Amino acid sequence: MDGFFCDLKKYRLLKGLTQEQLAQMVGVRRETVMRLEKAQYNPSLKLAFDIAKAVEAPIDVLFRFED
Amino acid sequence: MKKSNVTRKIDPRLGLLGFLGLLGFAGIWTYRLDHTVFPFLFFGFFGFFGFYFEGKMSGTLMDERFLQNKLRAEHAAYRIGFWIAFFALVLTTVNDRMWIRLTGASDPLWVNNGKLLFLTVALALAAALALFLSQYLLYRYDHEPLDESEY
Repeated sequence: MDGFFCDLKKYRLLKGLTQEQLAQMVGVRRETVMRLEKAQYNPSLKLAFDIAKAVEAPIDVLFRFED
Repeated sequence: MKKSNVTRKIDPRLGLLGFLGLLGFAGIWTYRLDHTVFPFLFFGFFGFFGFYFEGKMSGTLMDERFLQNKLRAEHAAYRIGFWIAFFALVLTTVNDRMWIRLTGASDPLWVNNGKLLFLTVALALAAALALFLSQYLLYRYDHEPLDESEY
């Protein structure tokens, strides 16, 4: 996805969570977390907030849009 | 009642029911017998081939990405179905002389029967295609390969 960057993997690993665990915490499938980490899925605002809360990282650090 | 957020469980082998669409060919026989076109509607059963892909996605958690893909797939499938139905309808509204030229029919009686037959087959196939495509595209969108080059 052009201009979309996601640092989720780094913060997830810092929290010691697996993709499966994070997926369960935020109520999505592991495939969705995988695609998020590869910046190939643009999450809804709610999911982005839920993920930020789960990995305890600021939302604007986790997800970035650049031109 | 709480709505389940998991897709329904279906055996992919139910997709074989799509072969019931072949019953539509019975219309050729009934049409020759007494001009009944109703059995041509059975071509719509070809849409049951979609059960194969629905079955492959049985018990999938319907998260927001799944729901997005579902809307995308249904939008594409129903749009195609709608345009086929629309063009079929337009074709049947052409005047009789043009219809005779298009189909090469010589018997004037054949004109209205032919239009009805054509519309029945076209609508049944459009419905079947829309039903099948909505499931097939959902499966395809959901299983799009990850592009590893970006990381």
